[in-house]
Amino acid sequence: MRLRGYLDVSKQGMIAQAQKYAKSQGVVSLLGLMLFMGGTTSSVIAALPSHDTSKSLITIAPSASSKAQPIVRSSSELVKRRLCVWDIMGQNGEIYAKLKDYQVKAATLGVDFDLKGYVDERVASEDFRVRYCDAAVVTGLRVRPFNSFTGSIEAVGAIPSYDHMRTLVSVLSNPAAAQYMTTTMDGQTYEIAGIMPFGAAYGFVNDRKIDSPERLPGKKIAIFDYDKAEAKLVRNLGAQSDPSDVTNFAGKFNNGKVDIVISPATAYRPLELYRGLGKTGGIVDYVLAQVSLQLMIHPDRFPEGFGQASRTYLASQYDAYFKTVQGYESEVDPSYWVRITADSRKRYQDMARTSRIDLIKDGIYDKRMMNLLKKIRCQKEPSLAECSEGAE
Amino acid sequence: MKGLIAKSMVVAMTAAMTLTGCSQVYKTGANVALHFAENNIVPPIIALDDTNMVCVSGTSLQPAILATAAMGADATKLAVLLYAGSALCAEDTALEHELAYLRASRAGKVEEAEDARIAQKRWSAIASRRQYAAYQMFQEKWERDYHIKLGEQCPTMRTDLDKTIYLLGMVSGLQAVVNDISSQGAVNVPKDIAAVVERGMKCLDNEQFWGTPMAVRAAIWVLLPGAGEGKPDPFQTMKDSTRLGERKGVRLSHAVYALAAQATGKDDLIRDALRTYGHSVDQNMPVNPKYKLFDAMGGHLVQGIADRYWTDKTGKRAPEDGMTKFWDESSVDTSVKVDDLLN
Repeated sequence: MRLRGYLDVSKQGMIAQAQKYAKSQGVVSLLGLMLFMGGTTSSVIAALPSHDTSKSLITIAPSASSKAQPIVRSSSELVKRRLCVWDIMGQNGEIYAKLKDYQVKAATLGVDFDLKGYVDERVASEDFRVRYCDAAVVTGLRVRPFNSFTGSIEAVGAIPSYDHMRTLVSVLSNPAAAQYMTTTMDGQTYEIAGIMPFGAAYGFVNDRKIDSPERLPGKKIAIFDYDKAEAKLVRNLGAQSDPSDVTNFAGKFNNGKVDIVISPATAYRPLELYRGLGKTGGIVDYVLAQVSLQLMIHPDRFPEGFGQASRTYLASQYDAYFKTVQGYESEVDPSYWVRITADSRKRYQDMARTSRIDLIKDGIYDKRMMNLLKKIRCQKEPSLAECSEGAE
Repeated sequence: MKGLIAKSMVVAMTAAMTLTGCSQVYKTGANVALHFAENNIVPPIIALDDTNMVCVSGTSLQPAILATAAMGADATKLAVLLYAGSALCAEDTALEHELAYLRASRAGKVEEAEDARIAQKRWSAIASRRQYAAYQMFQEKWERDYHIKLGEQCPTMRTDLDKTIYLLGMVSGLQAVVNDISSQGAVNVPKDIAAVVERGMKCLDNEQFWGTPMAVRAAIWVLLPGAGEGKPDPFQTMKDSTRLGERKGVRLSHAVYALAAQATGKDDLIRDALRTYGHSVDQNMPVNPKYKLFDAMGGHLVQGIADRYWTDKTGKRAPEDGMTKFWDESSVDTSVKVDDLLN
């Protein structure tokens, strides 16, 4: 496993790498690299450098041997590229609006993006696959076929808080993680050029009594049918899955056709999930997954160094994206939160861990990402039982 | 108009103060002035075709109208109209900054583009605040007076003014959501307003309001996941609404069609929406004299969408015939063999 090899690499090797980056970029990335050594503390993670994009832009040198265009700042040398953005509200949506800011930033990286909104995520990812789109923004689940490493961020119970998510985004934006951002399949190379938080996914239940894994058998759960992990999980729990998509899952919950939906709080108001919650329902306060938005590119269509500079910039925007997520979560009627007991939480964690191990074996989750996420969890909470065990 | 309202207010307030000075008289005086304005000043305003005049007067008069609430008067109807007018000003300014951002982006002038984008977001937030305030005032009054919950039951509205304010209040709520998103959540407008408006539009007679209620519903089917399930084709519905709008002489549905088309980013839809409006102009469609303002507002919004579309693609706003002829469409007759004619 490449990541394991990377994580276990000697400190001398890491320092040499760090010095190489420091030399080549003019910025010291040691703190970021130390995280990968597995010997850092939470305070070190928190102290990860917030990168100054403008500095990295100027200092990233084009490779002489590369055919890719160099990074430029002159308008006449900008390359025109198409960025396809999935947003349930299309070009009137929040994600699209945020990507307009990114569009401005990308011009400093030598790329003049033409933004195109997609209301259907599947179509956006297909248009990216056939190279109609030079870049695309979709959720992590849709990224999985292109990059199983970052496509496994949505793993069940693997990122329990936004603090963990922030650390993950910082780590993955570090130049040391660049090798995991690029994949080659069927002669095509793909690169993840940025990761943004979209919100934690929670279980919305129509009966507050469904507050522990033991109460799930027999319940009907709406699942996104393109996510094999969800289908398998629901099966393992003894619940019934109801294949759905983003256009109908809320309607099914609100009409009482399913008992449970798994969704970020971003859907609570716009899709009126409170109608389905009614007087008896609730939102179980266990983070089932962290939904991410990921920017994918065809790297051969971009200037050398664009992917890294883009990841660095988008990681620096974490707070802006997080603020939006918080705004949506604040709209949830507080009385709907079902505060589960420590015992139930422990059982959910155990269940999630077992599922992850199972899904690694099935090749659905990427073992390297699971390993990284476990290290982040254990750095933040070393007393977790899983920290003394292997398998992930 | 401005002077007349101001005079009425002064007369009412002076009379109230001179006579007794007690709060009940203030309230009565303010209410008399407001009713006078609603009955005699609002209809001529709605019959104006100058959106800029209405937007500027809305901005300047609104503080005085809102002040009557402190006297215990109910200024909702007038306030909703003035807020909607005032929001037009803010939307215009936001659009100007957006166009500047698009031009700077195309030219690679990064600082200028960033600056324009910041300004755009600020003005979108101002527009959203005004529209949300209009929606909230309308919602509170309608739910109180008619004992209903918006989007759940229909109020039994008797006057055209009430129905018009209902339409305006609902549309303001929807626009507040859209502008809040443009401002990146600066106002935090509840996003379920869209679903409420979709249901609430059923309460209006589609014929009477120039196809706008159905057009708005169809636009929400496009914009809100799941809202269109089991519903007719949304863009066909919007297109049908524009035909009804043209028959009735008010092209507000054209703006709704163009907004929804723009949201999809599909060139063929955007161009069809712009052409639909452009052709109605070319054919000198007769405008309903009672509701010229709403027709002008529709035209104003379509023009903004055309300018945004043109600037994004060409760096400049739509030219005079820019709704029916686009930059990449040749008007040269290619069927003619030039050599044959010249030799």
